[in-house]
Amino acid sequence: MLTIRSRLTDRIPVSFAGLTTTALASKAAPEIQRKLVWQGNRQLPMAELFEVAGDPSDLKWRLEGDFSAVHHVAAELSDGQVHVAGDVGRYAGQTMRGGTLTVEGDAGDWLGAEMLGGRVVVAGDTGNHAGAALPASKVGMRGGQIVVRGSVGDYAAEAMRRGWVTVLGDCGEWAGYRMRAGTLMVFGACGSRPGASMRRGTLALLGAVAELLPTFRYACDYEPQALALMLRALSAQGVDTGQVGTRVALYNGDLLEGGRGELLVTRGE
Amino acid sequence: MASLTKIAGGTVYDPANRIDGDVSDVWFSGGKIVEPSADAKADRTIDASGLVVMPGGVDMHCHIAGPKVNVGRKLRADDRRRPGEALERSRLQNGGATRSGTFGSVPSTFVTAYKYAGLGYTAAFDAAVPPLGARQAHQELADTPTIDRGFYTLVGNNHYLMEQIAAGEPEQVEAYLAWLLTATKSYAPKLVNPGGVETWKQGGAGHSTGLDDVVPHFNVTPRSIIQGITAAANSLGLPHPVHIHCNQLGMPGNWQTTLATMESIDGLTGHLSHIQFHSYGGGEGEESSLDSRVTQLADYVNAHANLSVDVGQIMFGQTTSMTGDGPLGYYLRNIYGDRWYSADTEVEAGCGVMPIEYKNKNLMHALQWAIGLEWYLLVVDPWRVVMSTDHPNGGSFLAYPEVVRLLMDRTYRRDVLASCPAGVREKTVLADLDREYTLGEIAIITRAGPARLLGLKQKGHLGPGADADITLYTPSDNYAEMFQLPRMVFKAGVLLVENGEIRTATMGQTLHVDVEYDEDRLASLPDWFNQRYSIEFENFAIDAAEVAG
Repeated sequence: MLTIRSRLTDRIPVSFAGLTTTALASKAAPEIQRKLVWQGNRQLPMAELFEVAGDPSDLKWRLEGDFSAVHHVAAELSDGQVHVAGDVGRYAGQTMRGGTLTVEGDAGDWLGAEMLGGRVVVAGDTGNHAGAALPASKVGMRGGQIVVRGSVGDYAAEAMRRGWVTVLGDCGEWAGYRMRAGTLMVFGACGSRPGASMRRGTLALLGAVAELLPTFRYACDYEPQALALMLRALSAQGVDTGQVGTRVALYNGDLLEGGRGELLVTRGE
Repeated sequence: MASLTKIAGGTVYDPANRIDGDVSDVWFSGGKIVEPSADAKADRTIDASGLVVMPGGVDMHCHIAGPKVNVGRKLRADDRRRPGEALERSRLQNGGATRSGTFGSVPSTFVTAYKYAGLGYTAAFDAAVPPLGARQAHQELADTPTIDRGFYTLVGNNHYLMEQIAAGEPEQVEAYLAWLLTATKSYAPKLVNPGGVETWKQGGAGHSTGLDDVVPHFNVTPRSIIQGITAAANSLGLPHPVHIHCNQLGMPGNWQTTLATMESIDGLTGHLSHIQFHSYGGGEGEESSLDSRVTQLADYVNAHANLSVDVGQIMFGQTTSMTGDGPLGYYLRNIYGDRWYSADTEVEAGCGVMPIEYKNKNLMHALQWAIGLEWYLLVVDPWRVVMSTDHPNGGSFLAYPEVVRLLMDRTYRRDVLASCPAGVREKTVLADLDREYTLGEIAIITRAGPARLLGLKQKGHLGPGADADITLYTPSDNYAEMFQLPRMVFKAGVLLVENGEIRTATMGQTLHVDVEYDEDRLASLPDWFNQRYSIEFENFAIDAAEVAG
């Protein structure tokens, strides 16, 4: 296992872009220490900002200390495990294709943005745009799974195309904005305008819900089998789903975009 | 006294001076090409034996500055996410530094300049800036160093001009045109979908804007706008009288409108831009019926020496469409459904910007690619056809070396054609064209020709008195490689680029015209202007101090 310990003393952002488990797998710790990373507008050797120790060949990393100003951690990850024993900055897990990113603390904005595969689990809260499309992109998350045990900010799963995001806490505004497909489940309270401009996909609001947009039309009450199966899968992953009922009201929308999206609102049973 | 430099023993292509591959020396001093005295001794000699020597390239139709380009940069954030898509600041051997910037289909200003210089180009002209955007365009051009540059100002949907044309006041049209070019410090007038943009702004989609459709409220037609402004521009004796983006760009069957536009100019000097996009047969609104009508149009151009064209070659790949043709932007948005920007520039112009991807497996795109190449190969006189990709609309200017290879290497061209859908060979004559460009002809369509068409007497040639803008290439059988990486590039006698490395990054000036006109004729213009514009008349004109260089 490779251990990277933060020695950062300020909030100037550091980018881990290009530093992945596979890219560094064959390198020894001293070589990694000499690798240049951007801090603000300058490039510095890793050793000036981090303590690096261990062997990366098993594709397992452990990041210790304050990484809240370190961005692009596990970005483009394709294999292996990255564990952050604390907070992590923006773009963590961005465009990752495989492997696992686990965060013990909070994550910044754009967690798992445009993710293609793999799994991200955050014990704390995340910022805005979790699993979302990056600026100017047509689609956001296209595969994989994100589980946030805390709350997420606004624009979660924006323009999602495939994949599964689960938020055990609360969710901000514009959840599932411009969704094309995929699933966003929110166990806590959800902010306003959920599913705005969604074309397809499923937005399951299993906690308190703000007023829905008038462009969503009630269809029926039912107990979707898929929801029960997904809750069972989450349970197998260690998520407590005991209080979550599977009886929901189905709304179709956004009618301004064809109305083929599903918005499931808990009936609390 | 300025030092004397000799580029010795190169194989020189200087078509304007009828030099076609002669081994000779080129001398320059004080930034100008000079004729050395019989006993002249060079202070510096550059051994160019085995190298090809040409004047610096001139791009007469591209989009590199102004509001739409900046919108394109914002819209294409996806172009430059990865570290490799950014240029870092670097120290230069000769002192100074290059500035940082970004690549992608719409590069930042500094990167645009460095990349042009890196290709051996020393001048480039943005082809569509609304008069209200002139100030921003000048500021961006000031940040586009290394090359000389300029822009054309949009006049084809200008309310004042349409009112004067409708009123039958040609002298008024002339005076206003002269004032506008001078006030905006631009180089030439540009017509974009004349009358059509205004019609769309008023009524939305569904209007044909053929040459004889009346523009609502103005009682003019595209034909009368083209004729009125072309006549005024010719009468003023502008170095590049008029640059025309015809009506109905991209529409199946638009070739007849293009032919009618050529005929309407009626013997006056006129340049038709990105002609590839205006050469389509087929039924109106039926994309599947699109075919090539280059043969008919090129025959007309070949028979009329007053006409010239630049091609607007499309190249396969991702790029960004940006145009003053607002309805075209709307049309493309409906086809591709991607993000789209549209703007109404007050009483002057429109604008449309959106991403686009040309795919070689797409019959329409492959047809457009082939139609562009047909233009190069069917216009007999290379002095009247100019290389352009309408950067970035058809593709990046960085694709010019690839276009050179397609023109000079028939086998390569046919290999690429074979990778396109079979329908391309049925709907075009490209497969039957054997012509291969020579290096001399390439020198014409990339530098000598556009310089002459722009009236740039000091550019595009290596005769005494010309700017010492010189490019040295290493010959190769792969012409794309040859033109991609010049051995050396000089601008006004200063070494800009050597083996792909920037050596100097501070040269360049903005070229524009100052035209005399009868001010009394425009006595009522300030009142007219202040009633319609969002800025005061007295704040409109660009001061000389605002122009770089």
